[in-house]
Amino acid sequence: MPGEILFELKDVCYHYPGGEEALSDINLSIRQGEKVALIGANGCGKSTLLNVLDGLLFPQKGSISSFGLILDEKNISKKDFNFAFRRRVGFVFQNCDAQLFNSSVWEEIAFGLVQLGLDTREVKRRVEDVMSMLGIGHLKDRPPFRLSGGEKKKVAIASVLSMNPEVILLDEPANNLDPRTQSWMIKLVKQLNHAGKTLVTTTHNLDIIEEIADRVVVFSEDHRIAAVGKPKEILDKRELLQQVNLVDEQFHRHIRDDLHRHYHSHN
Amino acid sequence: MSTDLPEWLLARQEPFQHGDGIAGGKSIRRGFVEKSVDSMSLVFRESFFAERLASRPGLLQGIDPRVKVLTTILLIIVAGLARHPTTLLALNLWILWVAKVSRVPLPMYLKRVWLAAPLFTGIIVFPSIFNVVYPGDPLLILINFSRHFRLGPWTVPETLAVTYQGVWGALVLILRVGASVSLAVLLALTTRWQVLLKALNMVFVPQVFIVMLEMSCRYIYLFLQTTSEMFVARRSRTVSRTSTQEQRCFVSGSIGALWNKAYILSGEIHAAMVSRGYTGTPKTLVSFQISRLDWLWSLFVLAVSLFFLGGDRIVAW
Repeated sequence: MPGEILFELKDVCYHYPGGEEALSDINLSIRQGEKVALIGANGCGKSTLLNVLDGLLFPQKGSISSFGLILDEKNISKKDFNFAFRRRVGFVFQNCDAQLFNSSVWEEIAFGLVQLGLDTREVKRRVEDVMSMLGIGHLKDRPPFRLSGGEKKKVAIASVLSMNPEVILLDEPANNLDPRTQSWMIKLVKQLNHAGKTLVTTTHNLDIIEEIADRVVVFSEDHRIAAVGKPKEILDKRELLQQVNLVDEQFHRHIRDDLHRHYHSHN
Repeated sequence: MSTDLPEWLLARQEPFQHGDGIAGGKSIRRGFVEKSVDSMSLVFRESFFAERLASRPGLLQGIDPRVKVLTTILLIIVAGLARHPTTLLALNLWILWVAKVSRVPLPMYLKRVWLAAPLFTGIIVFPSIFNVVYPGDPLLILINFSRHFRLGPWTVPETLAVTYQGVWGALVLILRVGASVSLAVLLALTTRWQVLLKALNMVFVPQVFIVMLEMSCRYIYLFLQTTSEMFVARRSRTVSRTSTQEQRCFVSGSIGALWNKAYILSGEIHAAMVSRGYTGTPKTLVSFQISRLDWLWSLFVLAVSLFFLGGDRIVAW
């Protein structure tokens, strides 16, 4: 059952330095233990919202609080707040090449732990545990540029999981993954949620949202929240999905409860 | 969104005749783009090879990188202090033995060290072997002028000869440079780059500088990959030979595109670092461990150094 409110956004607006709008009047609460999916067409503001939730971008209008405290530039620059916040919130970026900046997989996974000041023995223990959990122990000395797309994604997730965050923000985690790695990812998201983690995932893949979310936030192309609801309720609103450019007229749904359900198009 | 295809897109190409452009066809000369693609793939091949070599189970691969850096410096000092070619020759042979037991392929190693080092050092010391530059006892007389004469500010001796002292000095210098280069190449071949960079901390290279080097090293490969993809994409759309001017335009355009990509990526990397607790001061984990093998190797190198320096005194005397 979802618990206390971890993030609360009130009338949040954000625009990039060039004046390009990314978020407009966002009102949203995220509770502990929830699996939330942010869906919408490309460029609707999903990734920007994750950056705002991670305290990397700060809204020009509106307010955001996390763990009951105001999340703004002033507070995050305070050492204690920054330490407590970064420990609790992990962000898996869409671009693995940006996230994997260390020279080996082992160092990559250890980076966050070292920055948080954990002692060497604990760092080693956590790195080894996460590597064995995700089955990437054989990659430990490899430089990130030698990894395949799926391996990079696993290392990026490991680098965040090693910090044991309460909230995990995942930006398009299933993008460019082969079907097997995609299934692995979905299974991992479910496992982490069962373990009590709060997960906020962005995606435009409608096939996976029933599995990765118990609440869906739909973004319109004008960077506003168009709807919030349970995955099934949202997926049944074909007109809404068409309006926000997530499906076109050709799309329809095949439902076979004994197997699976998915959207596809006949062109 | 319209999906009506324009008429020209529906037109079919002439059928490809068997042997089209093969018999009698002129081959396209390789331009700058093709050569750059080949060079970039060579860098990747070399880097794969270097990493495989550094991971082989061999003598030097098992030594702690810090110990390796210090012992390499010590041996380079020994090479610098040795004054007799016999000592330096013996030291070079000993380095070859170390390379062999570290499972470094000797033909490649010898080519890498002894093709470049003697060539460049040889060019530098070549004039000094003649008596016109450095007077000495003649070893081989080349020209006999029968009397000495003045050539501007120089006095040319009676004979143009290769001197004993000149050859000796050149030989010592070439062997000394050869030994130093051999040691440095051996260190680089048997240690992974990221570990080697960390070990530089031992020689008082500041931590922040090492972190910057490591990140540069990591992203050089990413940008090299990106550039290679840009060049390959260009090649796949090139149907005839392009002029040098066109190639120059393409290269300058690629530099601009790469600069933009690097700028955007640097922002993303910084965000990813901040997200995992980076606050402006890089903290790194030093996890080197000195084992019994490291102590043994250090003592062995110390004994070898004393042996060569002592031997050098005896043969030089």
